[in-house]
Amino acid sequence: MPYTLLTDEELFAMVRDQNDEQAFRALFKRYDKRVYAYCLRALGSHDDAQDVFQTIQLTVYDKRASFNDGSFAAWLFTIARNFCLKMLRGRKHNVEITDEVVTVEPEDTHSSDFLLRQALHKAISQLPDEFREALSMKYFDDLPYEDIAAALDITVALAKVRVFRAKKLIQQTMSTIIDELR
Amino acid sequence: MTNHELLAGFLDRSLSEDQLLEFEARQLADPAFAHEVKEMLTVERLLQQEPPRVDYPIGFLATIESNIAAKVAVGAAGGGLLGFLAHNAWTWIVGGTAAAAISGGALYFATRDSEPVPQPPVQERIQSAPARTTVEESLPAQTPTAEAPPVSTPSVTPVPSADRPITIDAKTTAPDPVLKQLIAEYEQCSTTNDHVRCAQYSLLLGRRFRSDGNTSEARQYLELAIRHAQTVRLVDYEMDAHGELGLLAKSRGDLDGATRSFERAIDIGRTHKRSVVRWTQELESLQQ
Repeated sequence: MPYTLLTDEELFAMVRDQNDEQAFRALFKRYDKRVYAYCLRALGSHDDAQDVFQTIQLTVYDKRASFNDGSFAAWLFTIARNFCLKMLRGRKHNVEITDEVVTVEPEDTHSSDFLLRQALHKAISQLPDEFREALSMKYFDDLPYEDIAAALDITVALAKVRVFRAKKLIQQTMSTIIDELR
Repeated sequence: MTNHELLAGFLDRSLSEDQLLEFEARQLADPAFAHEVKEMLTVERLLQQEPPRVDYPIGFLATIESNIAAKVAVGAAGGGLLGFLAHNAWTWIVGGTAAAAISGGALYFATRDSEPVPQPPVQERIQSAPARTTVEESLPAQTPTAEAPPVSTPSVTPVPSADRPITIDAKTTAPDPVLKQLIAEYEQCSTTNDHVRCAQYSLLLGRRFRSDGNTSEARQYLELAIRHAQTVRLVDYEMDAHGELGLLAKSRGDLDGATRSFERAIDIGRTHKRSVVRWTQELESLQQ
């Protein structure tokens, strides 16, 4: 069966049990950008994101025997979150999303969407941490509520509430600009 | 249901038909709610269509992928060869031959002139390593009457020092399939300047030679590992290679050298926020 048709968990089992290099590469490509973007959002700099990303990937491989069931994505993002938090604790301050880490394509610079997007990023950066984290996992990491809940160690219902409240806060923050551009 | 519960369900597409009708009715009855719904739909659209765009370090991601894929491959190669050897009768025949060769080699080294023989750089000797593959080629059953593998050479005809392959040391002449695999992998990646894999394999080789007590090969591979790791910023490997050099120095009784290497490993680890527990413990054990 082609690797693309296999689930994350099936691919990871092939890596863990059969040292299947191609299965590893297929699985890595499914998540490398999402995990990297997650690290970048959490840490705010490419240098730190690269350091933590490397540690996460090595840890996932080194600890492969400890993953037996459940969602691979939830397990992966739990590891990613733990390492990001560890680095943030080491720094003793949080870094929020800034223009430095969010590169907007120049051709959109004068469009209304650009203004909306700028406002959106600003609104996201002003969210409480727990709301921003859940929202980012939902929309930027493309995780289902079940995986978000597992990664954050909360219930699925609470994950949904956090995402909704995050969106509500963004709507309130952006209300003026949305009306102006309508 | 409250307006917000209906709105949340609508955005998640989880409302039933009846709930959708209720949702529509509330918007018609409450213009403020209808306005809120429109704004929330705009936010939803922005979130779905305009996630933050990231300049992904494609080369870095590929490097990490290659790095860990090499670890996976090493696991497969090790397991496969060991599995093969465990189930192949010729293992025992060749193993016996090799044991005799090691004994012979050890006797030869014990009785020969003790003057140290200059050796070419590791890289040069690795390039001469293909001769070693004849050991592996002699393993399969299709050549059961093959001549004794070249590992026994030292006990019979000493090879001129300048041409001596990496396997000349009796301690490294054991038919260790994993070691051979690692050297072959290192050779392959060194020809393509794949520093990630080279760092990986040279560190593994350094560790293995160190555990085998072959200090000169261990040191040279560990120094290669440091150079490869520095080239591609593989901090973990650079740190561990220094730590391994410390263990090597410690095993030779060179406590000053061990201290310097452990301190260097710790310094690298701390600079890049890596765990330095192991090397700190090793350093502390020296100081006790």
